[in-house]
Amino acid sequence: MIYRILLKLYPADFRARFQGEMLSAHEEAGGGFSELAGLIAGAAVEWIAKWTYSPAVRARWMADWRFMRPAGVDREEFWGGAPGDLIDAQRRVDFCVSRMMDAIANHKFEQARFYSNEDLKAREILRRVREKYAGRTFCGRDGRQEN
Amino acid sequence: LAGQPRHGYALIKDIETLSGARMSTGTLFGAIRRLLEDRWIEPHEQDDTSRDKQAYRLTAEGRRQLESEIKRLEQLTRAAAHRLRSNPA
Repeated sequence: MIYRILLKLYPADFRARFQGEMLSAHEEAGGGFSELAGLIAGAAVEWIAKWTYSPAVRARWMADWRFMRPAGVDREEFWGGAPGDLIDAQRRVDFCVSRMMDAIANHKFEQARFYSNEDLKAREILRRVREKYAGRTFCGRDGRQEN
Repeated sequence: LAGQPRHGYALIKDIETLSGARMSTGTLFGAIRRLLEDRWIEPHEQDDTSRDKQAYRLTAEGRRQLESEIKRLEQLTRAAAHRLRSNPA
């Protein structure tokens, strides 16, 4: 029970990947205080890793079900060679536009204004990232030309 | 994993047998996550195991890294043994 609660300290993507295996191993191996202390320490390490690793690196082994990308396939490979930061920047723009449209459709104009401002910031980041990869052409997974 | 594919609990027991130290599941699966990211290990499909008992095996790159690390440790232990022999207490 305590073990299950402490598992919630881990990042969601880590839990999605390893929670079942960790529970299974813990049920078989048991363990006392040191096991729980190791679990808490492990959670801290995972959060540090999550904040410091490139999302493109993490994406190597995590499946991305929103885009039906299986685990083990690089995001760069899956997206036709587009680099991780370009994909992230484009996704942020798509996300802001989608949220802004939802907010307008639901007459939540304050929220729509917020996402409109976020969209401007996201587009500025996308412009800078595109400048970085100027001259390179990427064909996205959905056929969209990146840059 | 150099000998055969193993799942989490089997790895904990094996590490305990080899080193005499008990590894927590938090430490183990953090290490597995890093090894998967580096592609030194990969999931290994076994017919008789459930999703919660995912086995892992060394990749070719992982084996190369392991051999290289063993060589490095051998050099270190040889150097340490040589110094110990040349400077007896």
